[in-house]
Amino acid sequence: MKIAVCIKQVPAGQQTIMDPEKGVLVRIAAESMLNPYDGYAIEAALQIAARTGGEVTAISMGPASAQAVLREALAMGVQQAALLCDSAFAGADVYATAFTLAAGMQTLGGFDAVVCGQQTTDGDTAQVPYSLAAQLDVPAIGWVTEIASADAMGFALRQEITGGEQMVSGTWPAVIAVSRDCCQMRMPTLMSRLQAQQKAIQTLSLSDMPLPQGKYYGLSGSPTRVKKIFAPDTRYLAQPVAGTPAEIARLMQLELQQEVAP
Amino acid sequence: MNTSNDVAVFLQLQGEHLHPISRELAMAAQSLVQAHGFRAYGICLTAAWNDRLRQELQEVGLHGIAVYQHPDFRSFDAQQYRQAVQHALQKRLPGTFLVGATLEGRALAPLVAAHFQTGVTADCTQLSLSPEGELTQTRPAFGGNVMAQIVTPQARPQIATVRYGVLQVPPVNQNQTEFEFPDFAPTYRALQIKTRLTAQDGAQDDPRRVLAIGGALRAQEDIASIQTLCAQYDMVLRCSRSLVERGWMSQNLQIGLSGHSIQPDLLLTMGISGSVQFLAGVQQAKRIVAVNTDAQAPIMRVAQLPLIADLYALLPLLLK
Repeated sequence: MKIAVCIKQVPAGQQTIMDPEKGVLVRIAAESMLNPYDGYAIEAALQIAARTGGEVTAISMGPASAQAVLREALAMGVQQAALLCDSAFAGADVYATAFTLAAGMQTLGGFDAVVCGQQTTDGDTAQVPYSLAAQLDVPAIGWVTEIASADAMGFALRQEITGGEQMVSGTWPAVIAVSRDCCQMRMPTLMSRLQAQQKAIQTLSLSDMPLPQGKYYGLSGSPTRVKKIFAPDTRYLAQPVAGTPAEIARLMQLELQQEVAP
Repeated sequence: MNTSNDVAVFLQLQGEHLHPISRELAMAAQSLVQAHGFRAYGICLTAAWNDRLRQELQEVGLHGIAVYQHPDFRSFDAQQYRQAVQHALQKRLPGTFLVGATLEGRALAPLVAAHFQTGVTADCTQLSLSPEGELTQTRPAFGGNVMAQIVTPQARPQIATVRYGVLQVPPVNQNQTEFEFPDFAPTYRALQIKTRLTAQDGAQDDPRRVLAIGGALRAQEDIASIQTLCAQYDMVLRCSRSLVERGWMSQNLQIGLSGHSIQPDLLLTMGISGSVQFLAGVQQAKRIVAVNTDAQAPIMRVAQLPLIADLYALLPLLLK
């Protein structure tokens, strides 16, 4: 059984700037990290592999520096790693990102299970797993809080919904998006990190894709566009008040006591 | 594709009632179309259609509602829901489709978008519609403390999700709602789903007085004093994203675009700088008192009473 886990390199802290002309993120390579949700996705993928006798391939769409997060995945124990890297892929919105991931997966021979972290700390929209599932024409099960069971045929997953939860059972293939509480993430050891350094990371560029025309990817392949970026209004509603702690505390007590019933 | 400039809204039900975000979005849709004479209509999926629900939907005042009734809709199967929604959108071809950013909506919107090869802008803080039917979708940008205006130039429908309590919706004209009942049954059968609804946690309700703490907190142990302060002044405790990321406070107490939006009568913030994502969650607060050592922190610009102070110097003075 072949399992893919989609991972992303994200800024650690506020380390991105916007290119106002193109309306795209310019990532600063220093201070990057594996998207925290993806660590749990890697763990979930490895657990599914253990239960099904499968193999895990970590896939990331990103610049060359994203190899660092693929090495982390290898250090956690995934068997293969692939980087989808090409200037044509840059500036992709959700649809184009999922399109690129799906294309890369096709080139890699297809997968029975795809695991994603529910969202990223930079994009935060939590949409890519669903767009990916739709484009792969397989079901999407998101907000997964527990992998109750998994075998070579299928799965039973606990899923969060508004006001409760659901137990969802089905058969592979499927895309699942996991929350941070879905499992206990293993920590790579020094030995596994050293071994990961020796492993090859496959790099796929535009010419490796089933549809190797740039217009389907990146900014060109994105149905949405950033029209404008602007800083929020910088005017002050009121003049900030300075004072001794005692003076400020007094002002606060007046504010807070205003509506408290005796 | 020959689309109209109409705006469609997904009317999500919570139990037997309309989810509050759907009511908000329906009003937002009416507000958007009013100026241009377009129409706003709803798409509702239910396992149990009855007069009470009809009455509730009628009161929203949309031009029309397509009601899809099927027992399978009792559980949320994103694949079945998308089939019905796609059927509805294909029939009418609206220029815009709005979905509440609930767990279900956030699954439904991108699935439906992929079908139409269109985009979704998630968690919009503002929406506007041009006379040509172009939807400008505003939201905090990714990284950096800036806002982005996003458009979907060609693909249709233009899809946006919005969280509850974020949009300010003015009163709108009521319309006489025309109901239709399309003959449709979902064919997707591959998943088995067992649903279990649990008790609502306290953070779902609508707090009137909130104390929110943020990144300036130095230790998890300090939360105890803040809780005492809350009890003293009859406030509920919430937090910004920083404390959730540190693992010091639970995600369901998070205020902000990816947490909860609140509309309290009084919001006191301590040690919160006020990122655009945080501010999006409080843009409907009636009065904000902000405590921060930095007069330039973004929250200090939007507070009615910005106080330059160190929360640690204030705590011993405030606690009785």
